[in-house]
Amino acid sequence: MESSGERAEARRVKTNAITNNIFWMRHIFCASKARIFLNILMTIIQAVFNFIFDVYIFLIVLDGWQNGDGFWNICRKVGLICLAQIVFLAARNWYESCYVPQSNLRISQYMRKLVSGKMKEIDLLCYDAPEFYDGYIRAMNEVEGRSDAFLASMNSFVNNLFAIFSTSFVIFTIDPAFLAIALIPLFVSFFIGKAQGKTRFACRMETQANEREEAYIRRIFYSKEYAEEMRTTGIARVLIRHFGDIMEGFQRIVRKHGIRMAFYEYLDYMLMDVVVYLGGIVLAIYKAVVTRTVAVSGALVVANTISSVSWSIRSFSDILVEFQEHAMYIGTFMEFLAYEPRINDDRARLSPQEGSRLLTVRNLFYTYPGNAAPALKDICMDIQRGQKIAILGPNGSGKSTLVKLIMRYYEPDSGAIALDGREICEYFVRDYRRMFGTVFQDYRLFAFSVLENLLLKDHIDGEDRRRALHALDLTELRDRIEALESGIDTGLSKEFDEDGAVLSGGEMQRLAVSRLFAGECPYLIVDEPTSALDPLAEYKVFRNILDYCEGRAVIFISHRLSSAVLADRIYYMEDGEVAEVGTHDALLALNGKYAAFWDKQVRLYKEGGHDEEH
Amino acid sequence: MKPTMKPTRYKVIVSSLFQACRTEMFWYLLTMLLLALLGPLSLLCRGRLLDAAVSGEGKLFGEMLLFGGIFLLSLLMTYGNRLGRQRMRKKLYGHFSEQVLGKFSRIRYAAYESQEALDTIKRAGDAPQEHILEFFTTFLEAASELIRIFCYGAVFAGLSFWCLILGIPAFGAMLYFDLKRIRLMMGLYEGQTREERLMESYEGALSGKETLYDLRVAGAVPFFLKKRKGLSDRIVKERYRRTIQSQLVYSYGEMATVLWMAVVLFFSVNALLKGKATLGLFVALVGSLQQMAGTFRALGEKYSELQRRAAYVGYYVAFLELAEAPAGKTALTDQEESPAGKTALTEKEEPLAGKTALTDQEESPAGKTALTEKEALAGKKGTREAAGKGIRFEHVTFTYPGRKEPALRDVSFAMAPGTRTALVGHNGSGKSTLVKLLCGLYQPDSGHIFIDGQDVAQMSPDALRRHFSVVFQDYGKYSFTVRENVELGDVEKMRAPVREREKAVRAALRQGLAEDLAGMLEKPLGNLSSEGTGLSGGQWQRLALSRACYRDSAICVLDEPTASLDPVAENELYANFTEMMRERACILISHRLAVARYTDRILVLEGGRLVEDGTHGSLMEREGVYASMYLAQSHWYASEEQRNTQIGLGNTFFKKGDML
Repeated sequence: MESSGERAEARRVKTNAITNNIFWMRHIFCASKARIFLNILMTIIQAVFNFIFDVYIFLIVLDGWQNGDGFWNICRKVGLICLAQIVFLAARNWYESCYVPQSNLRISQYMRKLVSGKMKEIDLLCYDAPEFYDGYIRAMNEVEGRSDAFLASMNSFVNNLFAIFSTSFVIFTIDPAFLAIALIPLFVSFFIGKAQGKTRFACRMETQANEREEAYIRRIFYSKEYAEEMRTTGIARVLIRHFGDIMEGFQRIVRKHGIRMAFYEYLDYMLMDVVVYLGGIVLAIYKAVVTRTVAVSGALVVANTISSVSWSIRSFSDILVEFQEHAMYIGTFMEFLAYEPRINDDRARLSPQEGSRLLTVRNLFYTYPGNAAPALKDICMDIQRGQKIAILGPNGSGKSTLVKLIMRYYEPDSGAIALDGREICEYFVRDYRRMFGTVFQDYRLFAFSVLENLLLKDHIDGEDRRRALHALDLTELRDRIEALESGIDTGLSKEFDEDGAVLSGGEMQRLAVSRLFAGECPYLIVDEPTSALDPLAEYKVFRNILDYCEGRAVIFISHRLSSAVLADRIYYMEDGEVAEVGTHDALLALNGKYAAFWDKQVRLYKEGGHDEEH
Repeated sequence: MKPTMKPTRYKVIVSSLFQACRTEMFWYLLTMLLLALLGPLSLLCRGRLLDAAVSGEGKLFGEMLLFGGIFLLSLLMTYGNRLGRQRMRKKLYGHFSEQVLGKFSRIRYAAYESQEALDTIKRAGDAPQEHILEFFTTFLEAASELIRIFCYGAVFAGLSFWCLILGIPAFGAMLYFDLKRIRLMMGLYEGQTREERLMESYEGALSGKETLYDLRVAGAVPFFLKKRKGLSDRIVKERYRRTIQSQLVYSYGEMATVLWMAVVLFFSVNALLKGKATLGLFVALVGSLQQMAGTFRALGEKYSELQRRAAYVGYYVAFLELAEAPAGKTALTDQEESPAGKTALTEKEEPLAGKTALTDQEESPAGKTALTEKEALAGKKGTREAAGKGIRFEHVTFTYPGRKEPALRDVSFAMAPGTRTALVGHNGSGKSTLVKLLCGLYQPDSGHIFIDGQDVAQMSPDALRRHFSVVFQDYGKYSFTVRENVELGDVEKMRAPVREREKAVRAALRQGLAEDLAGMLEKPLGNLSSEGTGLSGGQWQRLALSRACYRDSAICVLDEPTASLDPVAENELYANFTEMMRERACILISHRLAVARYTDRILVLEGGRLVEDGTHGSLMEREGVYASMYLAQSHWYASEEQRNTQIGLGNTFFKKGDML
């Protein structure tokens, strides 16, 4: 991984407003071809009509009146305009109610596909890098909203641009002095805006930590996980008090900055409305009445439009800020999309064969990025099809890391893993990983049906169902599941499904083990599969796993030693190294670390142990 | 249910505003009213100004002053209005947050099992004060729009009554179609929640590091994404379908208004040309038309906004009405103020205990034998042997809400103070249920639970929880500092000076076998703070144990305390168990039957019933459920010959206690 300095530099470069926004536009175009064009068209036409109603109608009517045109003449022109407006409204309504929703749907599907596609590929290592991970989460969460916001900004941009040019032109032709008035606030508010921005930023920085904590405390209160402790301890009161402190903190911050913010806002306000509007009207009247340099209709038009021009000019800078914000998000998105996984099929040429026999690990070294000490040192291991291997050791000895490397979720720093003599990077990643069936300690079951949780795939046919039912047999869950409302198709959570099943902790663990049986993989990796099971169930499930292993290779990871006894080979790990290797009896005879570990456990169950401790 | 709730909703809105921010409320009302009137007035004045400008200079200056004055006044009002609103928001926020949180902690635990309650809770999670404030402001805005419409209407009436009369059907049509649109969209918000929650859980799974990792490793990502896409498409399609319908409906209304505006325009032009209206009036008319257009559009939106906000306030009311855990008759007032809280408790309970204890003893023969047996066992223990002390279950039966089979059937036993009891049994046999009933999270359907002679159902939650420290299987991992995580175990101690607390925390960490964490007391955990660090599963578990040790309660409940611990730590726990528990009564749930040896007594549950009760030795002799479970586990640790003989015998053993 690159250093954080390099990444920050890369990020700065990527926030190039123009290229980023064009990138987004291109994608929107791919997703929904006519959208951008139609959006702009509609906005322009709407702006034209706004202009007409603000300016042109007056000119027509008043000029006509002063020139003495007939009623019907004037009305004809006005009538035409109204008709055009109605037609346009109809078109716009069709556009907004029929076209836009479909287009939005297409865009969001397209964007999602981009993100999801990447999600399947990125290396697991990235999840550990908080910067990347946060960026990825943001990319995913904001993708839809961002498209909408982007299109809205584009609309404002076009709208404003048109309004500014058209109206300014008109005002300018009437008398340039007015335009000057309209531009005054622009300069002043530039400075005010900056100061405002600074204060707002400072405010936000200070409240951010508070906001996060506030959200966190809220979450504790209304999520189910903490509900038990909430009621059996006094935590609630403490948290509420803490919450009160946070609220006070907010108030303090607001008080600190509040007056300044209010002042800036007031200034902004006053400037706009008083100087421009009132000033404009006064000037208009002066010019129309006193000096008679301006026609009455002209003065009217000015009075009507000077505010909006000034406002349009000023909000133009807001729109530029919006685009800048979009660009920042898009930059994160682009970075995410540009990520090339390091574990890829570059050197892949083969798929693992049906009869793969031997997996070898040679001199494996691995250190987690950012850590000083290596997680694995010089690991050597052989796993033959049909063997049962146990990897044991205290917590933190590197057992799970080793497994992740074997499954090719991380790349070793040095050393190699080979399957049937060929390095695993020569196999296609997906096919290689499919060889492994796993049960990890923190398995997760999802809010799908039991069947779907077992197979975790689409397109389930009769053969799959039979396999799933058989798997349930092996973990003694079949009767329990078939007794449910919809049997194997019952949903697994009462939260989203009235008829959902609620399984106990042990039943859920057995279901997770059933996944193993339903998968039919040649290599099984089993990590503490029975921690939540009572001894009898543990025994049965374990026996079944062992029976199922015939013809397959099984790696047991554990820190309980019950699995070790029947293993063909035990690797005892400590501090990232393989300390001892051998069968259970051989290691006991060695009288080393494994033997000591074993002894500690056995003593608990030895006859007479009770009297000793008591 | 909705119609009957309506009065309460509005009552809540008004009363909360009144309580929290009375002055600001009136100020806001005032400014709104003034602004409503000033709008049309300003337009008229502009018109008059124009007339004065065109006709003669006599009144010009006066009109300018008038116009300027009105303009400045409305500016001031707008600004004051904004300020008032901000202040209201702040005050409401403070007022509500604590209420809502307090309510959350009092809701019955069983509520989390009900679909409806979960929906309500989710919606109440949104800040109710926002909805109340927005309702209020939107209501006033709508009212002021209506006032403005009347004012403008008066202007048009000045022109020709036809304008007004034609306006009514146009306006009516607009409203009608708008309401129709709103009704279409409303249904959308109601029906979505369950699907939205499901969607949220999917999104959560895809954003959580651990879950995503799991999905990758299980190879389930494509499948998951497909499921999510399906759900998302469903939600979005439905939303768009409704939006399309409602938009089309809305456009009819819009057309009607445009037609009306065209008519008024014609009238105005006509009046101008015929001299019936001055230029100023014409300008005012056209200006009013433009405002009206905006107003019409805004009204419909405001109405839907009002509906939506009122609905949320309705959810808030429903939330407030969620059943709370019973307060209890012997409700002790919050003992927080009195430093001698604990001693006060025991003193108060003494006389009560004696009374009820006697009657209980007479009634239940089972209780009597249990007592004698217990006394025999606990002969060595301390002085608090007075009858009635300790825990007693009497014929407790309980079924989880929504389920058919009872989780506990007619369970009776008694536990003396200071004794250690292990609770074992197959998965789903009712062990955790028993503990949850003991802690008062659920109420038994029948039977009673007594602690020190007092019925749990009669105790206030505060009084009840002072008896225990519990470490649940899914103990909480709080994103605060290590020290705070431990201190949460006994909040009453928080009033003591810092140095004392720190000593106590360190002692607790030592007892809970989490000495390695003592060096990082101030380290924040979790990802709330940028310096937050993560702990391993084993470290979290030991931290939770320390939390329990920190509190000096009479009863300690541990649910699977060694699940995440490796054998070394597990051994340590057992070795130090006696010291850890000291004088406390302890209930231990564990699959690791080795722990049973460290307890005075083992209770075996099966299918919700208490089937065996005794010491390790007596139960092994009985060759029942316990014996078969113990043999199954110790089987692995026996020597080879023992194993072989046991396998032969094993079959018969397993058959006896087997549960299929």
